[in-house]
Amino acid sequence: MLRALFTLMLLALAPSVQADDGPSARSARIFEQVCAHCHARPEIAPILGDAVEWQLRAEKGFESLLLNTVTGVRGMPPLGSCAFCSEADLRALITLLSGLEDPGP
Amino acid sequence: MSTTRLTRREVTRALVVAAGAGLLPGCGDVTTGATPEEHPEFVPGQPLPWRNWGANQSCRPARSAPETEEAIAQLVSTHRDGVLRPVGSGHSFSALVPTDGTLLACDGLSGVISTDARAHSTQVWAGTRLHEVGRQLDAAGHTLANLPDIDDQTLGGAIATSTHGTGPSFGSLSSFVTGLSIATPGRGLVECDARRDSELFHAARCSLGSLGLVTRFQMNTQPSLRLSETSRFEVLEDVLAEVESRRDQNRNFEFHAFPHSSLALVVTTNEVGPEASSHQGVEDPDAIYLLRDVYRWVGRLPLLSDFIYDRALRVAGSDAETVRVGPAHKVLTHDRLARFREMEYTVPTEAGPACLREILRTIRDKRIPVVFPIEYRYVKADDVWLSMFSRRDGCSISVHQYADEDYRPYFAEIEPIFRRYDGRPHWGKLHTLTEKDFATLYPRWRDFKELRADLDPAGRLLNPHLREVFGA
Repeated sequence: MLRALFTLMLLALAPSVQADDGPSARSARIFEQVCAHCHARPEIAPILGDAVEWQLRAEKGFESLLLNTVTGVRGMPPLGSCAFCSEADLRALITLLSGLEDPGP
Repeated sequence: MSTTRLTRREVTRALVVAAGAGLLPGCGDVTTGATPEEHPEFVPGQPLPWRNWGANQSCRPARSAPETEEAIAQLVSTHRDGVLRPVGSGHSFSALVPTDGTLLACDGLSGVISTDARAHSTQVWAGTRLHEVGRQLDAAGHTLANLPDIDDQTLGGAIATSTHGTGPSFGSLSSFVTGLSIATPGRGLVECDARRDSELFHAARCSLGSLGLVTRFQMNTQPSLRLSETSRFEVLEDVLAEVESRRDQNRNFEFHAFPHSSLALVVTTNEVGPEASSHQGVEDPDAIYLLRDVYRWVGRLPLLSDFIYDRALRVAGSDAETVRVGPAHKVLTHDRLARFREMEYTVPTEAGPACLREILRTIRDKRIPVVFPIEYRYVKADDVWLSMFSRRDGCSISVHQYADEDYRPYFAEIEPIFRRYDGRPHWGKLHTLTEKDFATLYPRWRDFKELRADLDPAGRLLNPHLREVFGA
């Protein structure tokens, strides 16, 4: 149910993306295809927009979240299980999920 | 039959409580040290390294993820710049994927293309994750008859390694395939099935990504169904004494034997009617770590630790059990958040109990410090050339080690046992076999090699691991 809700939200936002820096259609698609299997299920992983859970992780800093995403941490697989993702994809997805601003490489 | 029933969470919680209360003796470190793997460092702004789920394989590749079948076919047939390896979700523990050439992902081709209720058939893009296959088929009133324990893999990757679930009536995912399209280096995009290009069809349903990149599959389905899975602890020897009837009386049957104890967690799954209400039970993904903590507590009494460990497990096993009810694609699969490394061999069905007993005896006699339960499953024979179930019903036995421990000493002790029972290793899991071993294990080995050489004469799809596998 959460997964369907997130997907609808992201798809609704995607067309406006380029105009106001919302999630790109590509990020929305990767989220739906790869990330949502865990990040739309609060019993498994912090979900999209969960301010409390993401604040705990935000304290480590964006680069720390990026490194954990690349190498994997606890139940999080390396690259978030996205073999085709670029660093830019991962940065965009971290911003999408956590709300953290990307300081750039 | 003596039976104790409890959930994994309850077992481990009770053990930890017992340990904390002084029932169990003090703490000994039974770990064997982390595997000294070296991985390419991640440097922001530099090309991303790739690493598999088990974090025991890595590389620093170029990446390509074409979004059309035609673009994939074009890339595979024209690629000249080093090795090209297909990649899915990275769930293989063996070195099927790593290359410093190019990784080719087919995630751009994802989703169920069509379903045919009358023919009980579906066409699915190879880049579809298994959990998406299940979800989308269920929405259309279909399901695959069986699924593996984990559903994070891409369909293409799972079928390329004959990944499987359990149940004597079900083959691996490869056996559900009735047709496929494959982008090859030598022949472009080829459609094949049991009548058209039948040899390629029988080879490409388990090809390790060595013949090309499969873009889509035609697969058998059945109407959606609801299943009920029950997990409970029992005495292993009681289970083995009637293992054939237990296997045959349940739709799906497997168990997990606990080293250094007399117990096994038995998992049986059967169909239920639509009136059965859904619930997913209580599964604790971290329970496996708690189990290790408990074993460490008893590790300082080498003469008594197994006895205490076993007693504690039995005492903890009150009368609880875990029951999960729901659509097949949700009940047959599980979340596995604890990272591990795995070796699995499939032995002839009748050899399963003896092989398992020898493994457990070896662990006990050699005091191998392992607590990860040993998985025991049944899979039906098929006609896929390189499937582990090719022409014989199989019993698949899997040994695991935590990802933060060195799996090699443990697996090195167990692999010779598998080989004595004529075992075939899972292609996506760890093994040390080479070409001459496979030549004796697979009746169509030579045919596969000839076909592979015909489709990819320059070996552009072969990384070092596959060169060793095929002796190329």
